[in-house]
Amino acid sequence: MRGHSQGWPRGQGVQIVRMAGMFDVSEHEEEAALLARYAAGDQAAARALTEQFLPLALRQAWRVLGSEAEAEEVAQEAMLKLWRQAPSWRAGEARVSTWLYRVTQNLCIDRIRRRRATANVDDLPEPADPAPGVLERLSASDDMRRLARAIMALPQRQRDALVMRHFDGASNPDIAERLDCSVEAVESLLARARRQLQKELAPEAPE
Amino acid sequence: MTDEKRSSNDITEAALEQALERLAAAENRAAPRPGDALVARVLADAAAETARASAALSRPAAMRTGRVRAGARGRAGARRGLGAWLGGGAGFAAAMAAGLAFGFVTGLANPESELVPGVLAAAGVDEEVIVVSDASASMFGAETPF
Repeated sequence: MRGHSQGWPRGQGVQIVRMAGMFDVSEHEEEAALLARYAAGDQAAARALTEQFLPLALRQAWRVLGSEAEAEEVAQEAMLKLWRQAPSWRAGEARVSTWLYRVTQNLCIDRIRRRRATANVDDLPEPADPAPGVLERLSASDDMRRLARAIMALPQRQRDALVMRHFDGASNPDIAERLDCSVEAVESLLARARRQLQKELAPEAPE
Repeated sequence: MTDEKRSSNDITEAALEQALERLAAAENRAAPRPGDALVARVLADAAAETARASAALSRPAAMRTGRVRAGARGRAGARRGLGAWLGGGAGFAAAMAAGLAFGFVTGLANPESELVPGVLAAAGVDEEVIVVSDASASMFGAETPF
């Protein structure tokens, strides 16, 4: 049984009651319950959902787009889609965080495509790089910059899995849900990504 | 997969984990947090969507209520109309019957109709219950006085 101190943000007036010893309310159910309460007109539930999910959407969009202003617009739009989805949300089908991740990612991809509108989009590869420059800009030391560049050079799914795991702190099952693959596939992606990074970061042999 | 095999030069897994942690910490420090203005916009969207959904829900309900009320009004009106028609018809029939009976009675009693009320009154006959047949009497719920 998980305790109350799970970092669950509580909006004013929002109380999710766990009845110890009787049953465990899963995060899925908590999220679905909050959405249902919002759909019923409870604005305190909207506040709780905003506290929990807006930072995730904002950070993800910033990581992909590299612009805080654009990231704010995307995060707001993603949350608006969540509000519209709330009345028809079916509990147990997907986690809100997973759903929001995909929505945010798609909105970011749309933006990147619009940026490239002058080019022939069909000839371009998918906007795979979610954060060209963001990590690198953060990397103060040469080693960090090398690591950032190595991450950016990874194949997209390996990079996505690695970023979710190490930067978002997502669990392997969560990553699997977001990437729509098995947990074993996530483990394989992560293992290959790490091996590649270890290789890329190897000290150059003296001549 | 040869290029993925570890060589002696590769950094260790522990060193990689440490480097990733440092980079993640740097990203965490730099990542934007939702400001008050953004939170306010998002909550305003939430409230607007709630209002929109409520309006969308209440429109059909109002239309249903309106239809029910209109239907009730229509049925009540129809009932009133039918009642008025029936009532009017009954009244007309009653008037005709009363007139006939009155004429018949007065004709018999007194050819001078202007004297009839007095004669009837003297005879103790209430003109309002004078009917010409049992059928008419049963229609008006009255008993035939003769």
